[in-house]
Amino acid sequence: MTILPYLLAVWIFLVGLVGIVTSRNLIHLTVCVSICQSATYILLLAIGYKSHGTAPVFADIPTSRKVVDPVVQSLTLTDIVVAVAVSALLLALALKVFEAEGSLDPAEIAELKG
Amino acid sequence: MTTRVRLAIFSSGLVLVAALLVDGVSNLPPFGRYAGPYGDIVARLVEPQRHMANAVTAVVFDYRGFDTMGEELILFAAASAVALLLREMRDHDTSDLVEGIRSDALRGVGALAAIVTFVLALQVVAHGFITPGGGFQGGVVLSAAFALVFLTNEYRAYNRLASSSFAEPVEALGAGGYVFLGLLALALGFGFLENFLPFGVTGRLRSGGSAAIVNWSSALAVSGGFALIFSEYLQENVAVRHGRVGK
Amino acid sequence: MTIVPIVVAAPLLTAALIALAGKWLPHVVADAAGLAVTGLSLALASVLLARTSARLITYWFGGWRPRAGSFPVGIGWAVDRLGAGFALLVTCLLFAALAYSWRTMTEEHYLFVALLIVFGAAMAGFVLSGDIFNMFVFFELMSVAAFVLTAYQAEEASPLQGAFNFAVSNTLGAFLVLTGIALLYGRTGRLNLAAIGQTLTNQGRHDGLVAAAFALITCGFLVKAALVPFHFWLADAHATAPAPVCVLFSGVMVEVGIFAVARIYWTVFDGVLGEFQSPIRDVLLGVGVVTAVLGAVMAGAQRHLKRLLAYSTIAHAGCFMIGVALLTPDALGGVAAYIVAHAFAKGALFLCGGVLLTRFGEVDELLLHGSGRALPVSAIAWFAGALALASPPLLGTFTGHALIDDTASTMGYWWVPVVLAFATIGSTAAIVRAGLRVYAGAGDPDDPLLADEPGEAPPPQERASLGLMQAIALVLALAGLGVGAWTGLATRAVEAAHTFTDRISYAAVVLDHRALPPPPPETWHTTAASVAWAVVTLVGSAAVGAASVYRNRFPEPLTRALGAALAPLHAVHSGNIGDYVAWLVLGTGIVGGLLAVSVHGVL
Repeated sequence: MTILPYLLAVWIFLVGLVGIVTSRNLIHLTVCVSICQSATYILLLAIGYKSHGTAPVFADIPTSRKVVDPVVQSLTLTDIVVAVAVSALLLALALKVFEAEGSLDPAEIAELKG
Repeated sequence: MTTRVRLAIFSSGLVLVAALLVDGVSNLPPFGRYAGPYGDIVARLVEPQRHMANAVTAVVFDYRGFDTMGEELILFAAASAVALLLREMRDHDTSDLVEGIRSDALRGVGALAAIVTFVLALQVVAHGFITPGGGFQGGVVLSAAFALVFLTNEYRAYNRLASSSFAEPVEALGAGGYVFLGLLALALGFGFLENFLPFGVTGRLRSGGSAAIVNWSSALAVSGGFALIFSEYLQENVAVRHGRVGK
Repeated sequence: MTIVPIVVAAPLLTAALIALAGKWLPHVVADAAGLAVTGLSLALASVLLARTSARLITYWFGGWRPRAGSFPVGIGWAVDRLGAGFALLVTCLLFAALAYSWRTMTEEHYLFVALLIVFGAAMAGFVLSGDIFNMFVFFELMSVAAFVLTAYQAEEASPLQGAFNFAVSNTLGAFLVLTGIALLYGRTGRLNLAAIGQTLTNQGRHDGLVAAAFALITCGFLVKAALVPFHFWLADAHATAPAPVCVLFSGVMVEVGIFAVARIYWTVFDGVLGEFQSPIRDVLLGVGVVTAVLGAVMAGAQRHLKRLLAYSTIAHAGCFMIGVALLTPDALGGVAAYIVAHAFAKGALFLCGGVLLTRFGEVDELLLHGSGRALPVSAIAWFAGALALASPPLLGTFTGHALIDDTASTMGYWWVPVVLAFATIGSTAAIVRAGLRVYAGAGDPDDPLLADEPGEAPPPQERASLGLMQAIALVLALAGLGVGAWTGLATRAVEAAHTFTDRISYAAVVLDHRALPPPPPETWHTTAASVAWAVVTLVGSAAVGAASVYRNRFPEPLTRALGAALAPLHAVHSGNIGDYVAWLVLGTGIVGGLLAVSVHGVL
């Protein structure tokens, strides 16, 4: 099927969302957020693929050769760095919540309400 | 809100979002038949215009170098954040803790592996415009070299190589250096972050122009950022195991 | 136009330098450097504002300026008047926030200054950008900086919970935006806003992909704009972030989301989706109305001062969206004027809250009963800010309200002024009530309708002077009032909005290097109807606020009924991230689904 990779990206995104909503552990939740992020990588890279295209590095191939899209790869690279940054931050926050509350369950630590 | 209510709300939303997304992606060009002009134009221009063989690195550091600058700053903000948050928790200096690996074989192999990885990292960064690689990839490999030291050697050895007091300035230097290079180009009469040095010959190590400098700057920023994050988490880990955390 | 990149790059470089050297330098150096570079950006942004009155300034990074008509391979910025004005507003608030934090004595203060500057510079970059992925990068930069600033000085769980909920919600919003960007790239192969818009219009297809991209990007930015049901993170984040950070959150960060929705619609989608303006308008109006009403109602039920102000921001964000949703330049100009007045007034209120926290260690309205009598300058600032938000005739948010009300009435939406009045009265009355209780010691020391909440831990730092903090709050409040009094604001804002909504000229300037046609000359007159509404909101806010102080004396059945009505609302704002994300998904499904269905070719 010609849209299967895109559907895969959508599926992974939805699975990540399910994980977030049903999570009982902040660290598990952070990993689910990065799963949602992975879905966007797959979508971007799948969009840029060209059949019979090779890596866009012209070190040993002529410039006329068909290559996959280099721009989406650059976008994905940026996206990965953003994901790292957010995950690192969320994990640090989760650690501190555990320090303060002794629990990582979102339901138990909810102090701000109303 | 009870769990059942939440799941009901979520499930109904999920069905709708799934429909929306599927409808969206099913109208994309079929997989493998992407025809967008941006990538083609860049792939055609990258060698004649910029004498770079790696189109991805060219896009990252030259054509869309401004985005990469923003991204370095994101990493910078996050690494500073982790340092800020985790440092508040520790009440003692952890540099005196001894957490050693006893096996000499492991330490030896680990040291060798770390050295090889370190050299590999530098090679990946330096050849960014010629082969797959570049500042990011090399920076990550570099921080992996440091992580190897922790894993196979002892905590104090890691600290000697990549402690926070070393990683933090390196990282700020990398991120700040990127912005500075952009302003320098501006001061020299070029556009912000314009590639103003000679481009060299495609395929040679000395290609890339000023984007090569930016490449190294981002390698510094990434390795510094990751090393800082690792350092903070490792100190946290060690301190918890030795009961040094909490009030 | 070399000053364009300097507006954003200079603060970013300074922030990196402060982070690099701040550990070894005295604090005052970090503070001074921050203020100096923010002042520079402020000056440059003013110059940009002046120069964009008749022009659209483009800047291409990396020297990649395309020849006229050829493909844009680099990242381009397109500075129009509304963008420059917004950037100026950001730098003003950043300056005030930095001045307010002057000489805070904590050890890591230099990192706070650096991150605050990064936050402000990122927002300025976002509104000046003309490239969709570049906007995304700055969006993430400002978000990450915001997450950190919220968790700053976290000694107890509640700031962390606020920061965590904030981070997860906004990150999911960013994913939605990124998915939309990917879809647009897949269809058009371009990342420049003008180029995407032009390509979509030329292709003319409004199928599932364009519909989904529009829905996803809009919903992603609606999360940032804290509109219902994507708004849950805002109250938590505001309750725990330090006061100067809240100034920026309520003053410009939420508004960045509103700006983004407008920018993306007008430059990218208006060409291909322009024939569906009516259903799009209805959907967005619906979102705005629900948000405005909910914000006003929830504000009245808060005793945590910063949460109260946060819900007031949500109510006003709903009003902003109503203005944007009308999809005309007049209403958009009104929103711009409204945002400026609101930013200053709300900023002043948050700073007063910060002063109370520093002086008394409390932000709970009931526990602070009467304590504010020792702070007369704060009291004046508080009530001046409340007055500005109450939209009295010719002051404060009046200009914005009047423009939106007049436009809506002309278009036949007679109920818009009613909704705006309700939102204003509801949220401002809560502020008046809190002010009366805290600063005048009026009313009963108890209130049956207020939620029971924990107080914020006092910041463990010494401050240079309460006097300086209060003075800044007063200056902001007076600025907020004065914005309404400036008669030229309405005409300038509407003219700027005309340029903003002119997609064809935007593309012509950016891609073909043509000159911008002058906007049609605007003359705006205050109508009797708008003055009448202004009197209603002024009197209403004061009366309801004064009456609310005595809610303890309301008849029992009334309070029980109100309490029962409020209970499910309070239950829904549970503080649990799982709940928030569930609502976010439902919201994307419904709002996104409605938007997509409205523009889909198939139906």
